[in-house]
Amino acid sequence: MKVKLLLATLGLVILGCTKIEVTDQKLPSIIGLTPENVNTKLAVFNLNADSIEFRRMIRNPGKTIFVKGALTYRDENQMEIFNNEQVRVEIKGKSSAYKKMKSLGMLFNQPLDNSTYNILQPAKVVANHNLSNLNAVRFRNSGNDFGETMVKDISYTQLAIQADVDFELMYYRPCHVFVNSRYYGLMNLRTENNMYGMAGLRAVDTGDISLVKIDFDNGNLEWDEGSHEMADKFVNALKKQDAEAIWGMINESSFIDYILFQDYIGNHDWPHNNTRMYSVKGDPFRFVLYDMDFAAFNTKNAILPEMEYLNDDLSKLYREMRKKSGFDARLKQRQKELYQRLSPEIFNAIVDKNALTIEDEIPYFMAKYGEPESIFHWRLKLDLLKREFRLRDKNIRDKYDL
Amino acid sequence: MKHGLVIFLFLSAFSINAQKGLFIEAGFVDAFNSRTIIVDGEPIANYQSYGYRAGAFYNYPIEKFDIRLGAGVKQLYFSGRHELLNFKGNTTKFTASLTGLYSWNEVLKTGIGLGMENNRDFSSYRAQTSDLFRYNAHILINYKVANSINLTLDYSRTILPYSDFYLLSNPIDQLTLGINYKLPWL
Repeated sequence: MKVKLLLATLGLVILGCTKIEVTDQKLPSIIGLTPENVNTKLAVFNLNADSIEFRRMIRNPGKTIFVKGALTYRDENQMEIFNNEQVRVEIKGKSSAYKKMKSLGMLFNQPLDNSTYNILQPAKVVANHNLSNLNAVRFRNSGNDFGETMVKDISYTQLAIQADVDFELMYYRPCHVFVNSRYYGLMNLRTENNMYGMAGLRAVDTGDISLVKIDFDNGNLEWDEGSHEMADKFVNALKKQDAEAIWGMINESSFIDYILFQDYIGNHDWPHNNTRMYSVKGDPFRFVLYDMDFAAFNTKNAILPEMEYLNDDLSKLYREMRKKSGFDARLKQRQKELYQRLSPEIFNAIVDKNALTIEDEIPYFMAKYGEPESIFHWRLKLDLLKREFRLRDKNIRDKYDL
Repeated sequence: MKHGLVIFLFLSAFSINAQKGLFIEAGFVDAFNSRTIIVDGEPIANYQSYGYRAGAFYNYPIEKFDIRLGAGVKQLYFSGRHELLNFKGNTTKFTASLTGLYSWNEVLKTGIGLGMENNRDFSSYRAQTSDLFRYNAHILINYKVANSINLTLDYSRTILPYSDFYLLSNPIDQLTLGINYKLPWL
């Protein structure tokens, strides 16, 4: 009986579907495509690395393998700005590391002088963020949005930037990447979310950073990188549920903005995953926003009420913070302010702008990876991205009566 | 529960019509959008859609009225042009409907009702998510051509969701010409 029911359900899943094909799609050839002859308005990066070592790394995405390389950068006018910049390369991401195109982390041997080279020049930077020197960057494969819109995470990031939030995030720039002069893909150059990234953003030494990250397997906030002292102090206080000690170690404004934004966008891959916080020289921990490929995955559920009983450490931290006098009132007040700066109209304009930036470029990517299936499929996915954001916005405002 | 029982007993008292029972039906669907569909800011041109519907319904007569509860499956084929690209595709939807009909004479009935379909593909079904189902309103003409056989003309219009993303594959307006047959043993 159970087998029959299962088969019937499977049948429905297979049958209840929509298929679309484009009959006259023409894609550019990527055979013979090089950093010098690619016809693009985007920046072009070429990584030179030992091809055998690089292939070994690509074929083992679950293992931590580092490869030495040298990076060349051509700006959007195809002027070579630097070459032979020494880097240490590794594959980034967890589940997304198994996508056809991997995210590549680049740790510079010497901090890159971004004020001279301008590899990242966002129109707006959040207050107190510094992009003068970059210790590390990442060429991101769009994570779980790979082959879908390719602009989801950067659009949510831009939404946060425009809302003047009080947390850290990963700045971005779409670009083409080549490896040993062979086309690798359309990627997003991002600042890092690790110790190197935070040290760069805050213009401090990496040794001053203490970074704590949630462990996806058990939901525990644990030391991840940098100095142990502050991280261990915090982890112990949380374990003992020492509320007063915790309050002193958390930057409340950053925490409030961070949880409000994640709740607003409905990040399905959070708080049990993708949570990072860091301290500079023992200062209260601030929070880092990243990996929003599953934002608005569920359009209806408010996450903050769920955090009142969830078992992950961030939810526990939220419960401890709520014991602080006036915290709930300050959170509610900030929610009102923040929600006035967030809307589907703002998000749609961001998505349109990001999509326009890559619309002439994505055919190269489609030619290489066969995803999305066509420009038409890509545009449908952009519409769905905007639709789900609009539904999320409506439902969450109804929920909080805002 | 109590009210349900009373209604059931009330309806049972009038179950005298010969067309009480289970019917199977099949139909041809002509689907169209009475407004231009936009994808990523650009209109769809040369849009065409047609398809087939099959299913079953239970007909319950009460004097001059009938109540029909139906379920079935619908497959639509569509094609069109978006900027420089021609596209085609198909979609399969599972349907359920509730219709009330009035008998004008021995052969002609007209009715109105509500329908429900899976809106998202089943592979995209998630908890706590909007747009899972589509709701339609429909009007129906039923013409009896033989003792157990009727011809039907059904016009349905989408109520919700009214998003172009979904209307591309499953249009707002659908006209179905169908035939139904009463199973003699049920």
